[in-house]
Amino acid sequence: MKKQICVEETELHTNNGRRNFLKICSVVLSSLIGIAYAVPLIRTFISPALQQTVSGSTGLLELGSISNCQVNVPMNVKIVDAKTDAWTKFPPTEIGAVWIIMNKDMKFTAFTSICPHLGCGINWDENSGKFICPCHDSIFDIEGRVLSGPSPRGMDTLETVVIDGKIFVKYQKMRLGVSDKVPA
Amino acid sequence: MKRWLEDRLGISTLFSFFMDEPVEGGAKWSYVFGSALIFVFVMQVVSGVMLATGYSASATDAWGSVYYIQHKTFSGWFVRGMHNIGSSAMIVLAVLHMAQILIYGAYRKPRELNWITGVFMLFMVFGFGLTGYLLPWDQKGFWATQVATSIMGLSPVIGEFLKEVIQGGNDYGNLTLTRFYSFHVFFLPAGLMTFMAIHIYLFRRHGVTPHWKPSKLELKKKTQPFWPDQLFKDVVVAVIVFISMVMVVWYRGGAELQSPADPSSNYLARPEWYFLFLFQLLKYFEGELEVVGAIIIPSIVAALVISLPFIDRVKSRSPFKRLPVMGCFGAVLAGVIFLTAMSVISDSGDERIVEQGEESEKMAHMAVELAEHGIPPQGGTSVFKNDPLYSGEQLLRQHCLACHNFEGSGGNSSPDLTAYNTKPWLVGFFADPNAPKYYGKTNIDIMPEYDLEEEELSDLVDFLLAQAENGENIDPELKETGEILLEENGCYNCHTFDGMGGDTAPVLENFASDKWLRGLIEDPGRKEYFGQLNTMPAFKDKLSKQEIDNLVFFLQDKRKKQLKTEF
Ligand code: HEM
Ligand code: FES
Repeated sequence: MKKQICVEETELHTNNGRRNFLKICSVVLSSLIGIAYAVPLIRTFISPALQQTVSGSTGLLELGSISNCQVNVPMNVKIVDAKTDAWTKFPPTEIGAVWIIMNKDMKFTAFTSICPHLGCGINWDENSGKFICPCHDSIFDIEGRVLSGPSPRGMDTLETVVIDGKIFVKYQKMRLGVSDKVPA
Repeated sequence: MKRWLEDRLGISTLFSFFMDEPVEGGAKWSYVFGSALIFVFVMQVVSGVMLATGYSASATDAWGSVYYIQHKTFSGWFVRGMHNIGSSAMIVLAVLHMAQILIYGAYRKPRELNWITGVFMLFMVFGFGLTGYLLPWDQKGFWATQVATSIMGLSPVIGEFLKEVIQGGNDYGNLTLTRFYSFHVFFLPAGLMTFMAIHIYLFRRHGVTPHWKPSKLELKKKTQPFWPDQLFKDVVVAVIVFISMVMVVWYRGGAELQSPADPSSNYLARPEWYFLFLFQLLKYFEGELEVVGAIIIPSIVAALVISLPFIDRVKSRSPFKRLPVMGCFGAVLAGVIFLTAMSVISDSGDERIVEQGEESEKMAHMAVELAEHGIPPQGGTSVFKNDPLYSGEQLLRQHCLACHNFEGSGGNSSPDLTAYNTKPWLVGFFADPNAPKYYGKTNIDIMPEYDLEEEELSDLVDFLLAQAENGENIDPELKETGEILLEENGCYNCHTFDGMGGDTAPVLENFASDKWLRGLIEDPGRKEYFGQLNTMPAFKDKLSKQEIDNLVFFLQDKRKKQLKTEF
């Protein structure tokens, strides 16, 4: 019923060219707004995928400069983690320690200082040139292999990278008391 | 294919149902405001949902998350700016929309419910503005919103209860934000969309109210379909509104973000501009009467506005036949404009407020700069802990006081850092460099004692300290005296200055400058500093560059403050 009023011929109605022009203009203009607005909206939406949002415990931790290392002398470095999560920065806290060893080809090995047996802190004994866990006397050689004691596996290595003369480690805790090295 | 889809979905039937609506008397520019409101609301929904992907409704995190949206997220400032200005645009458009309806008499029978749903939507738009303003949890939102909730508390009988329900307990905190957030993104949108649907349905049912002049026949002859005649005009207005909003956002650099809410400050709160008239009205009613300005008058006006279609029963659409209504509308509008203007004028004339405005702008700047280094987990005002002064002192206490003494606390095995590198410190140093307070307990023992005349000593110290500021702009006379003194006292035997001299003691070039001090803290064992005699650990790998900068900043700030007290 209502539709009929519209279809009814009036002076203005007859001009179909004008009306088509308006239709095109409406569609074009509204699409333009849509596009103009969509760009910043989409940029905002995908922003986290293009930026680093969380850094710290999930990523690489800096241990210091390689110039401090001497060949085949294990060095104990405390792991200080200052996690940043988008806007929040957690205060740096010591979350563990690693032993770093540089071999003569300037390759680095990092062992977590946590003993695979029951989790005590492993020490380096300079006199014997061995790693010793004080809790139950597990003894490891400089490459982390078990020499004696209750430890079910060798010392756990951690991934390291050197960037711009600084050593970074991917700090991870491993399951204790089992013979395979698996992340805890 | 097209037919198949059409048979299942009925898109084009739906399309023609919505679009082929006849506009009696033809398309008109005066009908654009309603659709402009829908347009802006849709934009608010989209930008709001995008903001919600980054916003965190907790008292500790809200400010940080808005900071992150504003400064770290791509285009975040723009989206936030559009959302912020969108609320102003909605208010302006809503007022224009109402004005058009009043002039055309479109609120009269049978469209009473159109009018009433419309008024409720206006209140909801105000509600959006009010709840949104608090969300960033910055100073202005925090304090201005307190005024609003306190007013709620003034309502008779249920006031206190109502207030606690809205603000989520006895005071502002996490629950205030979670609730305001929920109102802002669930309750109000759901309410507004429902009312919008009813409003549009009613509009379609009753059709547009045409201009009062043309006769029925003329109107019928001029009738046009909504699509494209009216819609084209609507789109043009949408483009204008959109571009204006973009321009304002661009010009203002997005929405303001003040420093984090600080409940211990005494901030003078001002609400968003469209609430200023209510705020000003409050000022004329004091003490017991406050409830009159805060609640009674606004409620009466609101009630009158809602019941307008029942009060005004004149048949004619012409505004000239409805002069009392036009007069009242004019009076209310003039009143609102007057109150708003009064509020702006009295604020801009009040020195205290102008000053506070500048102060809070500075704080806002500082907060944002400090947030650059990350916000401590306590959130909010704790960003000020990133202040180099604050952090510098913490670092000094953490890393230096095992050996050094500072203002009465710490170790005694290294030079005292109290008033380090100030005139009194240096004067004492020249008198007895090997005293326990200076290098007495270190390996450094090669600096001789000097028994200079008072004036010479003073010149020497001034000359040395002048290196800290701007060695180049030093008073030529002082420079000459200083260089002679270095020469006469044999300083060049061990120290270098201007490229000459020995290297067994610290360089005097830029002595006590930021750079000098930074270098020393980074690696005191370098031959420019203590060389082989050094016992202080190098900090370049222990502290970040930023941390060393903060330490330097703290020490230098102490030194400069001392300098000021000397004059
Ligand atoms: C479904 C619709 C909406 C959603 C999901 C939404 C979401 C949000 C969010 C997450 C914020 C906090 C971010 C920030 O403060 O920058 C916010 C703030 C705000 N919203 Fe909305 N919003 C919606 C609709 C509206 C509407 C219709 C209005 C106005 C009529 C409005 C006015 C405001 C205001 C004034 C702010 C404060 C902006 C500022 O100062 O930063 N919002 N909104
Ligand atoms: S924990 Fe190391 S040996 Fe038992």
